[in-house]
Amino acid sequence: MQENELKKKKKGIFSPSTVENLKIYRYKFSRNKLSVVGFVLVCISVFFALFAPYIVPHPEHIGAFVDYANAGQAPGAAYWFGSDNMGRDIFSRVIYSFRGALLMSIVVLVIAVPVGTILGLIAGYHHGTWADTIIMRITDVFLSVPALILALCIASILKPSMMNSMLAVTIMWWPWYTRLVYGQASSVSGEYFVKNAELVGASKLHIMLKEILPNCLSPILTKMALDVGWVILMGASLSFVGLGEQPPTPAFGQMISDGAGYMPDLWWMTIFPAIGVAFMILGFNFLGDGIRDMFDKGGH
Amino acid sequence: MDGRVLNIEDLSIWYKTYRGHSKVVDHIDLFVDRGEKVGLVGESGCGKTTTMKTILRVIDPSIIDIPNGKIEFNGKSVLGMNKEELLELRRKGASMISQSPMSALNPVFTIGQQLMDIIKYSGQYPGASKQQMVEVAKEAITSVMLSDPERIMESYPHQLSGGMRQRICIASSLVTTRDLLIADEPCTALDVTIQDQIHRMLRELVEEKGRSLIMITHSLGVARELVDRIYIMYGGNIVERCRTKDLFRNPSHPYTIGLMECVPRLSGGGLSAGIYGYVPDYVNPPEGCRFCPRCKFATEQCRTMRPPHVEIEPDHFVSCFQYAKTAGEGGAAGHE
Amino acid sequence: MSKDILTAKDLKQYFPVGKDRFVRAVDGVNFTIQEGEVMGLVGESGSGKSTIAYTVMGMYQQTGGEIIFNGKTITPKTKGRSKEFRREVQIVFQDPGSSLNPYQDVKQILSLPLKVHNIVPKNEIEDKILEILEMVELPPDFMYKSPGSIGGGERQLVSIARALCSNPKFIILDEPTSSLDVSIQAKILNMLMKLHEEQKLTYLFITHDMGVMRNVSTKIAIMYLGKICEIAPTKTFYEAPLHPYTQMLLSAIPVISEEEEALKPKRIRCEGEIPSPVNLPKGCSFHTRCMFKKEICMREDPVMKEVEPGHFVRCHLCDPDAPAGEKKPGL
Repeated sequence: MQENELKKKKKGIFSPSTVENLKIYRYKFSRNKLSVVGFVLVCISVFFALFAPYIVPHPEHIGAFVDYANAGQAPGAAYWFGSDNMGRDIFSRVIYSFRGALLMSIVVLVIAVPVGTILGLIAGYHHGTWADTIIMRITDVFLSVPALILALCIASILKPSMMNSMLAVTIMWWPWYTRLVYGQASSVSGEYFVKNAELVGASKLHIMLKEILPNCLSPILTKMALDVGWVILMGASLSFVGLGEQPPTPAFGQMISDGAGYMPDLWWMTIFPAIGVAFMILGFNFLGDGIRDMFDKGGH
Repeated sequence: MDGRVLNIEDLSIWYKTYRGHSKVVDHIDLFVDRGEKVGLVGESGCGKTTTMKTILRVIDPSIIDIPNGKIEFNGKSVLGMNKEELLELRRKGASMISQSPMSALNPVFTIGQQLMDIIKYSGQYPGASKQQMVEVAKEAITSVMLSDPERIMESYPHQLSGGMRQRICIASSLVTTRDLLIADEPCTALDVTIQDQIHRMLRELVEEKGRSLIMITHSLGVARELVDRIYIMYGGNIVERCRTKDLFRNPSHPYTIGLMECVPRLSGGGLSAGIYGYVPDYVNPPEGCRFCPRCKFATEQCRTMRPPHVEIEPDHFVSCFQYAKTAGEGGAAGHE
Repeated sequence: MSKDILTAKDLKQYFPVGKDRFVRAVDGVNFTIQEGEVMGLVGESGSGKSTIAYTVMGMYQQTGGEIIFNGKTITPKTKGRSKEFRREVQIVFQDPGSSLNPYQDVKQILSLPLKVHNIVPKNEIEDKILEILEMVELPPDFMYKSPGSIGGGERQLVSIARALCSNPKFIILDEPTSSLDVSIQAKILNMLMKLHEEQKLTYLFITHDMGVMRNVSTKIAIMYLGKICEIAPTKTFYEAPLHPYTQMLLSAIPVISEEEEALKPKRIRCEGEIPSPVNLPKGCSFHTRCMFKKEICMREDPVMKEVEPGHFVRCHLCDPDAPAGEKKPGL
């Protein structure tokens, strides 16, 4: 009888304590109104990125499209955000840029986070040994070079393209995660549950992946949420100097840089892409703060 | 009026949580007379520290609600105090010795600097020159039985042992506080031989200077050695209140009796089974007596009604229906 | 005749601090624990009692001496511990908050030792866990609880359950109840004693609480600054403590009855603090705090002497040849 109940419980995806935890997380997250705002902004951004082709009024304006008759239109009913020097709808192009920005941050984090985390785990668990020294000194070398400059160098050596700019940002992004996980892992290694697993005779792989890694997840997630914004900003910077997405595909940085030449007459060419990028970054930063509060120990 | 330093009546304190209010302190009455040493004994999570922090108003007001009750310090309502009055209270009136002597001292300043600041900002020594204040500080250090005050004044907290740090905390509290010293388990982090020395010293100093003392502790033994009167707290209620010797001669509340049985005796005699069950959930506490889910003698009445405070002998109050019956009274919770 | 299960012979554990300086955390300790015994190891913080536990478990490489477990000798050269040792010797740590992984549930926590030591086939792990939970009287739905959602006492029960998973013979209990409330402590101690009876376990019980020790142990060793200063069977120990440090410890305990008050040595007061283990005092390491010290105490380190059968003391003032009643220093 009891066994049956237990089996049943196991089949449910969430055990009662998980539901309880989710409630606590929701409470902690929504305590700060800004994180809710961030969550909404992020949802809108993701919606834009996913459904850009279906929601923009002029999907054809994304590609090689020229309509000099309507060039330089001020924001109005026809072109909500105005049109640029080649007559393309700024609104459509801004919405489309959400795609590239989000794609970039996802690709960068999907590669950089696991790489950084694994290296950090190895170094942190073997605190004070040669493995620690080698991994952490290499990490330090990467961290000591200014991030944007390094990315600029890498991106300019390679052919300017979206792919290469992602590669450049990824290469300079993983060391942050190594540092973060290293600190966390080396402190968790001192906890008694790790000592106990060692004493029982568990393998190193088990200890690193099953015992230590889960304890590093909350800082990693928090940093990831905050980093999305930073990667977008970095991507925008690279594309501003022409090293990111190549025209005619729109990108925030590239649009801002194009518009800069037409300031102040065609101000909407610069302002709206800038608002777009700010919208995303703010959203992800607020969300990141919320996630940090959520994992914050203590508090009622 | 000079008799009563602290008077708490019908105080409740609620924490705000995601599930609603956590009713951590529930209708408690407590008083401390001048020169009296009072013990507040209870297990962790029973609301001892919350009550004491509320006296000094050092809990972030955004996370608690005080739905009812009053706290009077020297006849003045603490809950109605403005910022200046509160500062005055914390500077001169009452102070608290925490259980972690490491976090109570700032690691980047020397003991001397910290003591001098406390002396200066307490406003207790107006117009004193620096030299005079140094003398006061040295005297304070000597009073807690630390030799070589000059060296200690120049030390940083990490250069002292835990026992020495706790002595410094006591010294700094005594040098400024005129009325009430709240010691929140000052020796739990320390070894038993150090604990013994500090307790002895604390008792002597409090007696000598005529201060009042509230000793928060989870150990009946510590309370027995140190204080005149004991409050036993369980689940946010005060369940028994009496003179120390009466408590050990005639423990009456089922919780007190259970607690005493749990203490492993030096004289042997085996182990007790412990008290069945767990501390109540404070968000949805039991409707009647909060101890009744764990009580062997619980009746239907205990489950539905709050037990009255019954005086079973002079100055010995127990909050339990068992005694209400024998004393022929009952009903609403009575105050003294 | 019960056989010896664990013996420490002149066990030493030094930790380097700077050049040519050492913390002598454990400095030449000898003891023997027989099967079925509960040996209490009592001392203040910094006395080296936990270090002994960690050295036996192999968390530190011992500096000198031998550990003999079940007839197998472990020397300073032994690397790690054998699989058999890891299965038969378990440890329960003091802090139930840090000894369970907050991101695992009880089932995961308990299945690790079962898997590592292949105690039961994979498909029976769940049943075995239920059996072990029953052994420590926890309800079966604890399997899916996380350590964060249960109380300190229950966490300690889970720690004990984890130690029981591999059917050990010998468990080191490193202050298993010192962070718990008395009502919960009583429950845990009862559980430990019940398991001791039922599972024929042998314990090394480390604590600083002499009251607890009186009620659980069969033999007690008192440690001070890395050395054992007195070993005696429990009963003798409380009735006739000999070493001045033991007397001081006993006199310092806050008790709750007159009966216990009578057991406390009256003529001694607690003085001073434990000196730094880097600069040990010359001679007897306790002489800086001893009320009865003589000139010889400052010069020579005393050796362990058997005063009565099974009762060993390391003190210049306790003369085994003196007639009974005159053995106590200062009396």
